[in-house]
Amino acid sequence: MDYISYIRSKVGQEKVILNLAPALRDKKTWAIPGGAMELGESTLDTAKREFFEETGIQVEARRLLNVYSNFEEVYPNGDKVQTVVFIYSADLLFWAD
Amino acid sequence: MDYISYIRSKVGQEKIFLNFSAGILADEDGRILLQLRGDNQTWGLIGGIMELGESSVDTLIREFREETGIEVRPLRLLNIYTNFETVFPNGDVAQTTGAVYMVEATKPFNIKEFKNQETLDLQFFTQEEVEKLTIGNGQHQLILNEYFANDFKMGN
Repeated sequence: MDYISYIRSKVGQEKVILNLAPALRDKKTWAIPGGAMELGESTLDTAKREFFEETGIQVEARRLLNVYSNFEEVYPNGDKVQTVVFIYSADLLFWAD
Repeated sequence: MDYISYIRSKVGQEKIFLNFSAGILADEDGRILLQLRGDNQTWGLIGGIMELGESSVDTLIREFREETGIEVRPLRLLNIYTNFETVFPNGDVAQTTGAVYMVEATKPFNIKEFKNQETLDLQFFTQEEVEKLTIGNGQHQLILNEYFANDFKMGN
């Protein structure tokens, strides 16, 4: 089970802290590729995995840009979160067509 | 209710993410401030767990005040440390994800008198002195190693 499903099974839609790398949005708007951290990953692992899942592009992170830690979001399904975003700049390694 | 009490009331002792902030305060000789922790009686960095509605800098400033009485502001983000499993003395398990800042004091302070349940002692240490201490928390040990080597890596 992924971390979001797990924690939601425990807390319902209550506000929890969720780590993202870099930033996840699900509202048919433009956003930076990235997503929610899983247990056992570093944020660097998350950034690379999510970038590949969402774009097919393999990247290597070049440096940590910043941490954005105090944004409240309400997801389309009503779940409430405080998102903590660890954002990297990345270099392209491989692009799968 | 604080965030740990709230989330533990829902998940029990299961592994969850807990976000922390920590700060390094250096004196004019480059010695850094460490705390003798009340929970495990070992030396560690000053910092703590983020509450809902706080930024990581808010957490940093609040925890410094609570654990040392010192008012600080962050000078810069040193690094993030995101993939450590911590088993707390009570058996709770967490993957602790956090941000470590270089800080400076904004007011004069006196650490000699300061003591509470979380803090048994506060002292400034040189690098050589830190190397001889028992640092109870492996994540803090890595942070201290990177700080003294001035070599901050990504992915830990």
